[in-house]
Formats: sequence, C-alpha cells, structure tokens
Amino acid sequence: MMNVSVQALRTGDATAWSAAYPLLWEAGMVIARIRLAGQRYEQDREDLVSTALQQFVRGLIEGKVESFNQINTWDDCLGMTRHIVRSRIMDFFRSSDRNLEDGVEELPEPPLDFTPDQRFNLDELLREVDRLQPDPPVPQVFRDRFIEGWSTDEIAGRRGINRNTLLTYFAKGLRTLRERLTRLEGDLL
Amino acid sequence: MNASDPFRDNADLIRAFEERPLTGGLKVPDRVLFDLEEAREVAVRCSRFSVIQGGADTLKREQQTGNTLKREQRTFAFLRFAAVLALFTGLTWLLIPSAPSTARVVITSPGDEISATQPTIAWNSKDKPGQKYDVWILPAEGDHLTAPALFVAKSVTSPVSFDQLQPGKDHAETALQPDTDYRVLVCLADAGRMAGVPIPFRLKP
Repeated sequence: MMNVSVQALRTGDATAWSAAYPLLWEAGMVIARIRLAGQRYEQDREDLVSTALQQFVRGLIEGKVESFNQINTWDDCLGMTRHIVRSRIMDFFRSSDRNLEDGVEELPEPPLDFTPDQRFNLDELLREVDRLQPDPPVPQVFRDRFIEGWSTDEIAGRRGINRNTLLTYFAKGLRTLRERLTRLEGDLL
Repeated sequence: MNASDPFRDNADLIRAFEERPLTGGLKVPDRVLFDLEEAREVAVRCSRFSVIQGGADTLKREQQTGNTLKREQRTFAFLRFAAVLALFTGLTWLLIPSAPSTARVVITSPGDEISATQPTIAWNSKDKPGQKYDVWILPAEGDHLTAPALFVAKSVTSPVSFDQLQPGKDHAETALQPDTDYRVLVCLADAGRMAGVPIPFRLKP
C-alpha cells in the first residue's frame, strides 16, 4: 500500500498530488464500474469520478469543511474519495430516468459499518469460485461485472447467457465468496 | 423491490469488491489530470488567501485589544467635539436670519435649439399656485442683469405665448431671428433679473 503524506496533500504539494491522482482515480473508477456498469456510461463514469476527485482536492486543501479536516491518513483519503464517488453516483441515478428495477440491480446499498478486509486477495477468491464452480465461467463473468464495468445485460449479450441464469451465477458466486471470507476470517482469529 | 436480488443481498461483498487493494496501474486521462491540477491550483490560491485574511484579522484583533483605552479616549473626544459643534450650529441658526428661498424655475420651452420664431415660453416650479413671473428674452451676449431685453412679459404664468411678450426698448422686431442665439430668463414677479438664471437657446437657420 502506497503511503502518501496527507500533510503534503493538504499544503497542495504538486508532487504528492501527482502520486495520489492515479490511486484516487482507480479507487473511484472501481466503484463507478460496479455501480454504474455498462459501456453506455463510460463517459459518465469518467465525468463523475473526475468531478468527485476535484471536490476532494479542493476540500482537502482549502480545509473549509470539518469532515475534510478530520482526514489524517491515506486510508481516510481513500474513504472520503469513495464516499464522494458513491454520493455522486446516487445523485446521477436520482437525476436520470432509469427505472427502479435497474436501480436495484445496479446500485446495492452497502452496510455503513462494513469494513472490507483487504488482506484477502481478489484473484484468490475468484480462483476459489472457479474451483468450486468450473462450469459456467463464473470468474469471467465476475470480472466482467465487477472489474471491467459491464452491465449484467451486456454480459448476457456478449457471452450468450440468459440474464436470469447470469444472476443465479452471481448469487452462487457471491455466496461462495462469503463462505470463503468467513472461513478465512475464522482461521485468522 | 426485488427481494432475491443477489447484488442487494450481498451488498457488503460488493463493497469488498469496490474497496479492493489498489494497483496504481490505471492511467488517469489527460483531460482529468488537467482538471485536477486546475482544481489544486485554485484550492491553493484560496487557501493562501484565507491564511492572509486570517492573519490580517488576527492582527486587527490584537490592535483593537491593545488600543482599547485610546479608542475610548478618542470616543469621548469625538463626543465632546460633536456637542460643541451642535451648540454652535444651533446658536448660528437662531442668530442669523435665513435667506429667502430662491424660486426654483425649470424652463421646459424653448429647448436648446428650436425652429419656431415665435416660441411659447413654459416652465415648471414648486411655487404656490397662481404665482406670477416676469419673463425676458435676452441677447446671447452680455450680463443678464443689464443686457437690453428683446422681449418682456410681466406678471404672467406658464405657459406664455409669444403674443404676450412685448418688444423691449429700441427693439422693433416682432419675432426671433433664425440662426441666432438668445437667452430666456424667468423670475418671480417684481423680484428683478437677479432672482433667476438665463437659459440659452438657439433658432435653427
């Protein structure tokens, strides 16, 4: 994990920000690709994340908002960036005329108190899914959906899989991941 | 709501996907970098301005705290001066009789440049209704107090048609001459020419 000096960011140091931009961008785009999936939203995703990062940059340097003044670590920076991106995506959904079913599928509400444990390697988890369910290609559709930024309908079209079947794969894969995470957490405890 | 939606049911896991470890391998588009740098520079400028403004405010507060006694002294001195000035103004107002107010006459006709050789003279004023006025048409040159009147009307009210004007002494003409400059003067009746200001006007060729 790269360690960017928050103090340097606060003072507007150009070098520190140059190092931070790619990581903040990636953190924002990962969320945007999952929540705002689909090729037709590619430009919207870039615009939303760009605007969110500009808000973060100004908020941290200007220090006019208390929530920005409470940022002390690089993880706090990532957390604030992710929060802004999620909020902007929510606003995007509210302002667009998408129907509710799409919104439910594309925009799950995560629990506020959930803290992801980043000790778990995503590739390892996907391999676990692949080992348990070799047919159909669950890891690939997971990557399509959660990394590449395709919507469920796009994946169904590209891979020739029925949409409901695809949702079943996702449900099974997520359940497997949950079990794997729980087991790993128990091993560590 | 779809209760069996796998994404909604596993929102915490999806959040784990969202917050997975970063690789740093995602290239930031150039246009985004440009916007971010612009936002950073603006924020730095705003931040510096806030610091300067905050420092100025602090200095001002310190000066205000340190000079409290002097400020109070200045306040009392100012109050003393204001009291003396008010007393002096009151005595002056009581002892010196006020000058009679000058009639305020705004001539509305003729305008700056006219073509009629027998124009109507009209004006507005804030005097009491029925107030009479004296009207003079004077040559453009010379002191308006002593210049020979070309046309005169005494004790009239606005408007005054040219027929009501009488030719002045040694002036036999019955109308104004084209391509000539004149002045018109309207004063309170019997107050003399001192009570008004002549307004120039010109007849077109």
